[in-house]
Amino acid sequence: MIKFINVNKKYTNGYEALRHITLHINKGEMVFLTGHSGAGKTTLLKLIMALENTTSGQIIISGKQLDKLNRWQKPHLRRSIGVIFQDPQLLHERTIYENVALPLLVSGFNHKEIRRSVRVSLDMVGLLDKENRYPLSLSAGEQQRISIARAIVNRPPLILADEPTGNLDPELATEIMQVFAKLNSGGTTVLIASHDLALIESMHCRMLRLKQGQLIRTL
Amino acid sequence: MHTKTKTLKPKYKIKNYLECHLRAMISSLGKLLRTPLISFMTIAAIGIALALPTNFYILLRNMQNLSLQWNNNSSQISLYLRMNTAPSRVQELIQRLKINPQINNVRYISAQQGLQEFSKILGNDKITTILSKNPLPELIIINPIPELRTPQKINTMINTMKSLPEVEIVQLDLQWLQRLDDIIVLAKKITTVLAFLLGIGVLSIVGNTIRLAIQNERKEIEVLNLLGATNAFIRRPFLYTGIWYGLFGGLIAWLSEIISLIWLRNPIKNLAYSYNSSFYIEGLSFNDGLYLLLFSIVIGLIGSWIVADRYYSAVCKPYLSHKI
Repeated sequence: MIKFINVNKKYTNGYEALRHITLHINKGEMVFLTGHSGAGKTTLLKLIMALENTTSGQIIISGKQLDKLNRWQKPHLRRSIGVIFQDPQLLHERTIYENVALPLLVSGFNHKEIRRSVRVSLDMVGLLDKENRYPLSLSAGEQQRISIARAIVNRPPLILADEPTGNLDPELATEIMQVFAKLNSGGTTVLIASHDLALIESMHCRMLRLKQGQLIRTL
Repeated sequence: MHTKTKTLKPKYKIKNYLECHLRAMISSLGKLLRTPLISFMTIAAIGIALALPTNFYILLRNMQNLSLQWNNNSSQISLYLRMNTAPSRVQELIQRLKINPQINNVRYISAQQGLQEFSKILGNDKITTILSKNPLPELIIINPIPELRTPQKINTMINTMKSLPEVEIVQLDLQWLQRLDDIIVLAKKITTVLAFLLGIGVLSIVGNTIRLAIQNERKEIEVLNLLGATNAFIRRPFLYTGIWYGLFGGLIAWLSEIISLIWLRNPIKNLAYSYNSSFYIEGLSFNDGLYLLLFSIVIGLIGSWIVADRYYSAVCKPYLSHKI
């Protein structure tokens, strides 16, 4: 699913974010990515989404070599990846329903298809009754669940999450992790960047640890 | 709970594409209506910028009509005969003019008729009795054939007429007609320059408004970008905003043109009447109006396109790179 071959990333200001990264994540796996702030977790996720280009090395996502993608293929790659951030990145002036529907609008679905899929997705995170509310009227945990619903609404084969529980208390964090585990059990590949080691260890998944841009341990 | 891992793909491509456009069209209109005062101010600025060359164009076209009308009526040459020309010689001259192939029509107004007409215009019958002697000369009015109605040819004819022994004065109001034509040519150029400059003005009004809109929706654009929106998808609502601005601006220009003509119609009619003319100011035809709308829509579209194409990436890229 995700293959990095000797990937280096140096930003234009000279900062070396990633060095000699080689890794392989199989289809259907659930993997955690850990490391201190600035270790390169976010850069790694950005590279997977083709938001940044590698300085050298190759990345292959679902058989597609990213540096070969043109301007038009990159958006299509992103549609096959569900993303979740620490900040849920919801649009406050749109309802929950509209927020969750965004990936489908972007992909050009019609309103019937959208209605059905949004309902299914909201039902999965247990917030179907909130579809007409606005994001700010929901709690932080609920907002994060909405952002998960948005990430899975077009059933992407791969989900990336960058510190998805960073803003939540432990109880809510566990709840969110359960949602990811549930998605993974359905066959979705999940890659979660987090520095909450206690939470990660409770999940019994493979762990990739980054330190100063290098992969130092693979469990 | 079971999750299907197969990624959803839209089914009906063309239908969905049209729906996508419709959605962008309606949502952009909705955004304009949500800030009615600000939208109206922008639209009014566009409308006024378009109304100026439009009104100039109308003025020009009516001037042209007027000049055409005069050209047709007044390409006539008045021959004032010498005083005391013998009536037989007058008749002989008329006959000679009538067989001239360069002359279409010959009209003779005797000194007596002239005096009568003059007193009728003055509304005073006594004038004939006051004047002991008729001061008016005999008058022959000739219409040259249409082929002669160019300045050079008509001048040759005038010279020929002047050389006739019976003729004292030859009069043709060609000079000021010529001037009018020159003025029209100048006005045409001014209108073109004005339309060009104000077109650029509208382009920048739309461009600047779209730039602000893009800035305001930075967050939304960024999220859409992460969710895999193509540039075309992100750009589309802004292009429709440009189209709406163009359409409404054009409508305002058209409306203001109609209103100003209604306002001017009566004074112009009165003025024309005082010159014994049935001149009638002609406004934009329906087709002209549609061209005006088309023109303004195209300018709105171009203005938004120029900005949306390069500005959104410039605004959003640096934001993206440190934010996610």
